[in-house]
Amino acid sequence: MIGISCDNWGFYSAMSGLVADKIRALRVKGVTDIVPAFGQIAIHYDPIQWMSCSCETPYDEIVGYLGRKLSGTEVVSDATDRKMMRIPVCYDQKLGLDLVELSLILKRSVSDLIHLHHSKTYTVGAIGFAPGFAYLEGLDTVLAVSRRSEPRTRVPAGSVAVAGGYTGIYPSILPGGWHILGRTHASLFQKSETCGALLSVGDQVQFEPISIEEFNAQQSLVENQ
Amino acid sequence: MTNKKFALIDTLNPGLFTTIQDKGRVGWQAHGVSVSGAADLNSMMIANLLVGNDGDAPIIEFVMLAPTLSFSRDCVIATAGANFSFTIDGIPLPHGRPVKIFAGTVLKGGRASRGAYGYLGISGGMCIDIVMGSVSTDTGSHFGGVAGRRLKTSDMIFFSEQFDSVSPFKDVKSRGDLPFVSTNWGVKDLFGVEAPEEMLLRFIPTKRWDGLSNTARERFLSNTYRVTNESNRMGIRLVGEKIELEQVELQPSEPVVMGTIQLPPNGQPIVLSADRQTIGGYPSIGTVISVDRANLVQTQPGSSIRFLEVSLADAQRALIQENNAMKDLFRTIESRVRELN
Repeated sequence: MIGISCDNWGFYSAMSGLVADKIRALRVKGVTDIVPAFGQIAIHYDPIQWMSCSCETPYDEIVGYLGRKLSGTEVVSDATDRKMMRIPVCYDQKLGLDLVELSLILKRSVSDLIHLHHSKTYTVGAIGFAPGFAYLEGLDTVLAVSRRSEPRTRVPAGSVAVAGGYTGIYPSILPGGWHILGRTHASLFQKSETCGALLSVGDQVQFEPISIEEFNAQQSLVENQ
Repeated sequence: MTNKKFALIDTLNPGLFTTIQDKGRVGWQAHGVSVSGAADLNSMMIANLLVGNDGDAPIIEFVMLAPTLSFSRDCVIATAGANFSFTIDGIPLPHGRPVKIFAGTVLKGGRASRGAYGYLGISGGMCIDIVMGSVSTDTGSHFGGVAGRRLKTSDMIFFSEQFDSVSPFKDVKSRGDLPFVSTNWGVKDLFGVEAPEEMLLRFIPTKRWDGLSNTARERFLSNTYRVTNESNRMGIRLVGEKIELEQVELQPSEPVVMGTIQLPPNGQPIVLSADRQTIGGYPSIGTVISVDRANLVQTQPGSSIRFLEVSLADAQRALIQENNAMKDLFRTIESRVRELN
């Protein structure tokens, strides 16, 4: 694995997705995975395919190659080249299982918390923990709470939750300790050769509040598909 | 050509944690999908090649306690990795050799006295749905293998009719005195070759290693770690003299690999294994080198591990050497197996 850190490259966390795409587009031999996460990029490669006499190690060889290929590459991030995903979320207390508890902890009204959550635009910092689980950066500091002291063994799929300064969406039923504010029907992950995760690192995300009636209507739509 | 399939294997007893694996779900880590795959890749390759399959064909992997399986037709099987003392009608199955078995065979699995992961290669084409390029069972995300989980009693494993008769020993139609027919040659286990009391694992330090105090680094290098019972396909958990971290700074998760050595706040290292997640939040202080992968995963709970620091250059030199040795071994197996046809 080669690690590329944003400290050296001067890119912001949100840019690592774009840089990863540039590297991916090079179709470098022996490279199996390019994994951006919070401003770092890991390049997983097979050293056997980078054996040579000119460099001491396959690592030096591939790093040299990437350096030559990427030198002079400009990565400019503006609103146009960053995918904006709008995700409908129902913040009804029947689905936002921790809204009331969180409002007591933070001494803010439930509607305040909901507003603070959906009024921000988030950036995908990393995908991990489970297939399609996105760590979204940009959470209001008021909502930056630590995990629940008692994690749930089964968080409902689609739960929109906060913890550790991030917000995220559980793509499937999973164990988890984040505080649940609402739920979405958006499909965050599909196990097919063409789809995979809905979100990629660097994407922007906005949550659009919907009523429980709209949520239920979407549910029957999902079931009828 | 027919795409018909038949139930070759019935699971009479699933063992402890038996799954279908191949070389892993490569290329989907950016989507948060674990690589999974056989914990001991070389042993997987050997077991497959011994029965005339491609090295990374679907294989049955078992941990600590092997399954008991019945076979509805004649086929060729081979075990590799840890020796789980399989028997047929009470007679020990030769380990690391191609073995022709006959319809109605019950293959009874036992425990491994040494090593943790065993592999059963079966000739022909195992019919397992390919999910994102791999049949590997990811029990955390519930996909791959048989219903995305470990085998349980009565699980059937299907094979394609198409490859039914293409296997070594295809002209051997009946058993002799023994309930199976085997070769007079085989492959030795490759992990823990000297079977030391203490497994020595080489690692490449990370940047975070340099940030540790001298005391912490010396303790990690001098510690004899014991592998705990909580070890599994996600990680090998170790206990030794605790390493005190001077400052536990909160840091964002970072990408991890097979062999990443994490140091959680309790000061006891975890070495990540096949079913690791794609990124990890604990500080990673080093990476066990690829060549030592089999030695890492094959250490049984209760056994001892020590770490030895090496350079990236040393690690890659060792990898190239091992790759050449493996290629020779694989070629030899392939040609010997061809002679059986």
